[in-house]
Amino acid sequence: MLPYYIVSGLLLGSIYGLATIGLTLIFGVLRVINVGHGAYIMIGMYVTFWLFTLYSLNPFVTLIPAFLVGLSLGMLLFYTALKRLLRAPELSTLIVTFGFGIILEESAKVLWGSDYRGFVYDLGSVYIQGIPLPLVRMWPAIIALSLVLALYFVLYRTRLGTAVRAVIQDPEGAIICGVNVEMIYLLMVALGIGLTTASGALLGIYHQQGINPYIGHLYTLRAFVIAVLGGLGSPIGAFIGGLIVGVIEQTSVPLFTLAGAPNPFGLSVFLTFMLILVILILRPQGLFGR
Amino acid sequence: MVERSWLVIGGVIAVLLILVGIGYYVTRPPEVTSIATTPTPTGTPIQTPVEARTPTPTSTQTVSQPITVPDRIVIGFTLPLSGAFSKEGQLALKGALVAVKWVNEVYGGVRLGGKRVPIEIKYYDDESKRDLVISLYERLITVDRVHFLLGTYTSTLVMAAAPVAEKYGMVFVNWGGASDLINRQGYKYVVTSWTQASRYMAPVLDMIASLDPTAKKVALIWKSDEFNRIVMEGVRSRAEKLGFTIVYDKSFPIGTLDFTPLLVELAIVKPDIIITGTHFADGLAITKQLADMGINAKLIAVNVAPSVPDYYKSLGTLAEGIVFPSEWEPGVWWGPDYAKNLGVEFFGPTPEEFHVMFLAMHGEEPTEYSASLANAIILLVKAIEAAQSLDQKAIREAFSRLDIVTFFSRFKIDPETGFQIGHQSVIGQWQDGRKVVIWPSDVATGKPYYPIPTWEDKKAGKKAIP
Repeated sequence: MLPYYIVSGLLLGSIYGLATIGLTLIFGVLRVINVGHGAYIMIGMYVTFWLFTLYSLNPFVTLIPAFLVGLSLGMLLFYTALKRLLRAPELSTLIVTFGFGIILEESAKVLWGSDYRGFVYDLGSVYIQGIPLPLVRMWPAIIALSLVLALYFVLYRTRLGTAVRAVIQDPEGAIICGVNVEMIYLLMVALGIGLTTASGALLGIYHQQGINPYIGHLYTLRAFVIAVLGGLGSPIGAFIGGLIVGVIEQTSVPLFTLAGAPNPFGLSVFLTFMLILVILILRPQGLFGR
Repeated sequence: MVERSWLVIGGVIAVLLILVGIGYYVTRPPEVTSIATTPTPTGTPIQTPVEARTPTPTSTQTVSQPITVPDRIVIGFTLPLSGAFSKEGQLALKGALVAVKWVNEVYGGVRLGGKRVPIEIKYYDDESKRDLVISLYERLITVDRVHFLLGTYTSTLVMAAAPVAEKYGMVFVNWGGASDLINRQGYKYVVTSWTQASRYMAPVLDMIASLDPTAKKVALIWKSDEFNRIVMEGVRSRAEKLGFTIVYDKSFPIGTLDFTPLLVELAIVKPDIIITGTHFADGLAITKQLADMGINAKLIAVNVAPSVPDYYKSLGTLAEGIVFPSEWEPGVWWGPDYAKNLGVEFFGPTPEEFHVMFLAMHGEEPTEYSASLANAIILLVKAIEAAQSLDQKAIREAFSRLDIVTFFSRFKIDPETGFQIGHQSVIGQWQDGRKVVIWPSDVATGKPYYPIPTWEDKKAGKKAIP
């Protein structure tokens, strides 16, 4: 059954990767760690849930409004807080992003209650070794991969991307070359949050159940682990890191079962962190960090 | 410079000591005071919980003695109104509000010392967090000075709250923690009012044994938390006695969202019966993923989640045929006739009365969580009346003597441990969008639908209508 586990891990990992890219993009450009990252994933899930259940909108179409909501939230975050804290100590931005996350979670709780919500959307399955693999898991992964490729194109094949990379390497040098650094900061925060809410929409389609105001916490830790593994500040590293964590989560359970371990599922978390420990000892900057 | 540093450090330590002193004074444990036995001229002075919870060796039977009656009896507890167990906590709160209304407006208040005393509830949101539970129960006891304590929902949180109540010698009615371990800690003041985990899911196997002797292969998938661990111990023990074979038995960590690795293994094993140990959120998720992967069985029993009406709202027809244990369901009439048959007293609202009141107040059907917390309040009222005292020790002893039936079934505890031995849980099944009680047969409101429809049939709209 190993092929099934690997495919399943890659599918899950690609969404984990997309969910982490927003975090690492903002860190790479602004050197700001968005501690409230999970709250934006939650918002994306709710956008999909409400548009599907209230207006029967195709869940995959809800990706667009989810992305737009994220863009708006990103701009709000930048103009109300981050812009004023660009030269502030790191602790200030940590507290502000943490606070924004709490505001979003509590607002969601006030607006929609703390109930666990869910929906059912089925597209059929493909079969791998006789076991069905639902298409509602495959399509979100393909879309996540497409978004990452689009981001790669923007960052490495456009003038905007060149400007972004210039700001990452040397903000003062970029200003001298005529780059509007503040605009780049704004765009990257908005894009980072937009991709995060879009990943939330995809995770909503992937899981479909258990959506609640605090669900983002489950992804925040994973996103940090993946970001560190891939190299903080490296979007492509984040995606590859996501794939690695996804595959480990899916394949370690049967492998530990074969080894006769008493609690294989619990050990998969242990294995993920052990791998990160080893990678950080060998490459403290992460797999793709500089 | 060095002297100045020492002065600053000394100053900070002095300020801290003063703050600690003030903090201790404000929140210090109550002083031991004996219960006032002579009524004051005002007739019903407010009796503080300081007096109420004082254990006095001679206060086990104070029926004949006049007591100071408070103008109201305050019952304190926390509930997970947000966080992982928020659904169950919110449902429970609705039940508490109905119970208070019944006691104060229908029953006329607690009959204590020749007077009718209304009750009041004081509760906090513990956010499903153990550390918060501990500090909030401390607060209820030392700052709010409530007269009595009820537990919170789910074993993990109850295990955090119970030692606090025990430390202050306060009666703690556990209506929401089903782990057997709660009553195995040697606590003197913890009284459990519902069926414990080891006996909770096991009747599903009794039912299958009577329905289909050929179904023998049982698979267990469970969350590795306190409650579900004990539930599965009970299932394994019953399976062994009834001759079932456990073909799969794996746990998953708290917070798991993707069960694929376990479900792939399960698909290969092809069990007759699947039993999951979950709460609401993971119960929903695991049902959906079983459907996604098309893993069918003759019967699928899911713990906790299906007893909440939102389960069907989220899953639609996928919930059809899913079986669940429940401490109580609307429609199971443990009424005065049941009490009469047992030869014990009936107390509290009748099942119909509770049902009607709940519908009128909340516009929805009550659930086992609503009913269990309501039942705990009603039992506490009965214990106070039986003891004719607010003394914690007297109330605890009254609980030991109680053998009654309420709308929630029978209440009878092991006097030493507080373990519930009288209550009977039921097995329900989603049939045609409704919860139907299918076991035990003497209180069943419908017949079991067995084997349950396949996921493919349910996706095509098939319902479990016997």
